[in-house]
Amino acid sequence: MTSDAIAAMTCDQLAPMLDPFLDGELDAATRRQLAEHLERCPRCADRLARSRALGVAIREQCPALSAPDDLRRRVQAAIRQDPSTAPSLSPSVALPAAPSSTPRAALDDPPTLPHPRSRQRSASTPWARRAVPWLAAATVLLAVGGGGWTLGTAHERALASGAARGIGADAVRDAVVASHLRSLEATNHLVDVVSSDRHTVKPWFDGKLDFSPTVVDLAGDGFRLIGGRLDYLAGRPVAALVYGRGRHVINLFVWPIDPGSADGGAHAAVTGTAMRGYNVRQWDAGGMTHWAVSDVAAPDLDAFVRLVRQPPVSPATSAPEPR
Amino acid sequence: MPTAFEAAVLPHLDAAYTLARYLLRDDEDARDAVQDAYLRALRYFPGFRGGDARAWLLTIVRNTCRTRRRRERVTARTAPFDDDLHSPIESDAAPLPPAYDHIGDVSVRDAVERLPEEFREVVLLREVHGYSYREIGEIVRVPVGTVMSRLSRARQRLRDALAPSVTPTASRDPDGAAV
Repeated sequence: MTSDAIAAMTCDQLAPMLDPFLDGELDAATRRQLAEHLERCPRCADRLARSRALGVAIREQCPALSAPDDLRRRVQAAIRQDPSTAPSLSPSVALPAAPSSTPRAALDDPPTLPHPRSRQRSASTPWARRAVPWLAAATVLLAVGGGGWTLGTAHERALASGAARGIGADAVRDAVVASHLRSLEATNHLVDVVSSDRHTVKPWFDGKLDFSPTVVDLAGDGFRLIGGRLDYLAGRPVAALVYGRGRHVINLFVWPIDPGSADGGAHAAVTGTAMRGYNVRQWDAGGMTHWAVSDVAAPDLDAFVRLVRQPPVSPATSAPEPR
Repeated sequence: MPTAFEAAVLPHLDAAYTLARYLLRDDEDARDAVQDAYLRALRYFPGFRGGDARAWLLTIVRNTCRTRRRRERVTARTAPFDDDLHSPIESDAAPLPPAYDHIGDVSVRDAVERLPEEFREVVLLREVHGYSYREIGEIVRVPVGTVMSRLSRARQRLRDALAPSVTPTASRDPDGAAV
């Protein structure tokens, strides 16, 4: 905004800029011009003073709070007992009906736990019994989130591979779906490199990843390549290949199978789940883990997965490049 | 031994509790929401790309609180802070409640807590947590322009609600130039 623009504005037009002025959200030039106006305009200065007073009052009366000690302990206990961080903890022990069968290991975490003071509810309830429903809640979350026919398998894999990777398959799937959702939001970017040409997308990842994802052209089958994106999942940078079908988006996440993982390479078959209305498919091939996520119908996503696994032999993939 | 997750996210427990406490206006609800949010954060942590862990956590806390409130509203079949219901009451068209005639320890906080959720959260993230418009936009998942307009409307409501108490102090401010 130029100085002329500010100078030409009426006080009422400038009023909406006063809060951003106080918040430090105006660029330097605009800020300077507005400050000049404020020096010679009592009306705007008064408005500014009111805004400033309001900010002071809010900060005084809504101060930052300290988390109560018992909340801190509850959170720590819940984190440490979460199935995804404690693979040895079978989900069944998390049922509130069987608190006595909860393994010692899950209960001996905060040995110095004092009796909570301030909260009656806390004081009247042994902390272990309070923690158990949270475990149940976590398990229900998993169950609801899984909702698919491979839930048992996925969960077992989470428990089995959690020890080796530190990250359960459920957690990875959650992260994959969360990343898919993020990529669709207007404030985020869907692709870092926009191209329907796989010979543009594939080299784009060079130097950004320590592996080279296979990029297939499936435009002839109704899945157009939109582009690629660098993402971060399961504790490492991964390739996100973005395909479109109609108005729907498919994110295909690819990264190398962790050689240290207990189940590395053992999941060549495709497993499928639905989560929060999104279909998710996972498989390993060529040393890579693949996750496909989309809101397209399950049969469409299955078709997509089949095509990625066995790309059609067509001019698009087999002929020498025309350019 | 603290895990990477604990090291990154546990230090922000106070901030998480503060946001939840003001968003939910109930201490026990806030505690439950914070614990819930940490469990969710634990699951999402593999997708955390680094950067501001506090903002990342607050995003989850905020979403957890929203989910709880929505569920609560459905259960209770009430909508006590519905935007449309409240705007005519809090606007300057209606007489101000007597409680706003003085700066008491409760009035400004009450006014903040009476704001519709969409307004309250941006005010809290700005004034209490000190985030920039861009950061608030990332937490609340709206464009910066929306953050600006929500903040502006929220503050206008607060100014209207608190006019008798805030204005006199402000206009006598020697820096205010309103001599």
